[in-house]
Amino acid sequence: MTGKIQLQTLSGPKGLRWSRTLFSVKELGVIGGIVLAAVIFTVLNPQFLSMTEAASIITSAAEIGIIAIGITILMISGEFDLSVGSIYALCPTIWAYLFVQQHWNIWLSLVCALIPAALTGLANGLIVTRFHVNSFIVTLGTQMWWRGIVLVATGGYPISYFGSSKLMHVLGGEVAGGLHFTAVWFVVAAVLGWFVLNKTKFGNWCFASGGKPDAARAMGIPVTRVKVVNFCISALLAGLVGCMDLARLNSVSPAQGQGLELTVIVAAVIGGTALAGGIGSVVGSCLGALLMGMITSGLILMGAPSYWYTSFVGLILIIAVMFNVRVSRISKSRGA
Amino acid sequence: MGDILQLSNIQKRFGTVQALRDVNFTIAQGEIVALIGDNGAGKSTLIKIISGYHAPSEGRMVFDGREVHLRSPNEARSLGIETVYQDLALVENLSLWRNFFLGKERTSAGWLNVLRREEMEEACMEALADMGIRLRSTREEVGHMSGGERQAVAIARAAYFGAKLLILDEPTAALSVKETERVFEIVKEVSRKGVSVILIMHNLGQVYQVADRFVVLERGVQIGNFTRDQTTLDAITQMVVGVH
Repeated sequence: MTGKIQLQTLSGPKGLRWSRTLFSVKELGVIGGIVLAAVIFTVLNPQFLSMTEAASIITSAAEIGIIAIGITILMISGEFDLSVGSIYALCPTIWAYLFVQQHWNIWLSLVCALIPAALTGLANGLIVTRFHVNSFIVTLGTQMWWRGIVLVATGGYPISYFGSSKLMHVLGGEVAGGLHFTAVWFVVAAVLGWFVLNKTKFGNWCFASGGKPDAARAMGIPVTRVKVVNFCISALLAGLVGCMDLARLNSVSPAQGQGLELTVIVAAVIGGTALAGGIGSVVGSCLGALLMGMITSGLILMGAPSYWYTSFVGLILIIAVMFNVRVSRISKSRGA
Repeated sequence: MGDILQLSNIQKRFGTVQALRDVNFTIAQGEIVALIGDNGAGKSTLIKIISGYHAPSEGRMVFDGREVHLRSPNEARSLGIETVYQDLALVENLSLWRNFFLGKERTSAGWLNVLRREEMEEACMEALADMGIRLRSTREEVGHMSGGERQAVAIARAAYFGAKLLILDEPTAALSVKETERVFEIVKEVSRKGVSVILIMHNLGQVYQVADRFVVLERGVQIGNFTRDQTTLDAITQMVVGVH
């Protein structure tokens, strides 16, 4: 007699399954946050819904968002990167130094500027995986290392460039109506990140590496390689966004990006990415970045001192994570 | 049916400690063998030799008609010796089909390795149905499934990917009686399909329900090798607890 095993979890009453589908949307919290922020800021100042405002929101969301995409993929595979804030200052500094002060070709300079980012990612990844040092510590170390070096090398002074160049235009110039090319790159990075995570073998390996490294290894997945690659992606995106910022603002400050690493982690976490790895979504992180952009613009519009931004983000972080934990519990308990 | 595994005179020493001596038994194709004995009897050492983690100090191991000298678990796996650990088998936050094909994903050509999702969902569904596991969708996260269901899926997966000898280490630990029965159904199903199974279990009452043969170890020595007809639950229990 052949035993027939029914997986009972997969057949539940219809009503329950509908609500479970809703509660299993990991981006639910951040979507709620965006709606709430939009309503509050619009009530306080209807200007909030104007095109100019939208463009400024998207511009700040784009820069946080692109770095957050890299961080998200890395966090899903089970690691952190605190060095992104310094790399965001390092790469444009090198880029500007090479083509402004040394008059190198601007394209070649960009490539050379991004090499240290890739190498930092590689170093972060190898130290974390080979020497079994927590990524929090390793990337805090590389963050401080590069910040110090950038400050020493520039003497603390910003480097500016007011000439025009095709490359700079494509990286951070204005498209139309206050909207910058960074927004285009944000969309490109989001689509690519989403695709890689959900539709490719590598994405599958990322979730497995962060979700349960031992099981992933037992199934023959090169967990170490996955993590190292993701450290490099995270660092490269941070360096690239730094260069986009230079292209948009025509200036790079050696002090820029302090605290940025926490901002992007907050964007990812608000969007449903778990600190413990294995869970997260690029869409969620992009929406998280959008929410941060809305808060920045909304507070400026209200004429509130910019310090409020920090307090607000802290508050929203806690509320969002409380909400996410609750939602995932509901979805789990309905499942069991 | 032929023998899948023959062990002759297997010995294992760690320094001066003799962990195993003189282990001799064969496993036929499709046979379910229970490896029993108290803690420290040498079950884990023997399993690690069969699955390629340790090389034996002496002795011959013939697998599927050829003498083998395994140098790594990967080599063992590529020959068809698959170990399923209860809590290491599946990644909870991945869906069932993603788990089933984890590390063996079917992808389209090209450097991006795009997953052929529908094909894998269907193949996963079919493979599980073939083992007697019926389900509606393979998109459910494994974390939502019970321990017995996960164990069943892990066993079915190993069999699907060509395992000839499955080693199950305490497959029913922490499972309810009903769940244990489910796991045993799957074990019997894979054995009917010609896959041999080694079961390591402490619960003799449970393992007696399902095994065809019992190999008893005590302090590294094989003290018994019986088929089910040759022994009783009481007899093997007394051997394991040392009243003999």
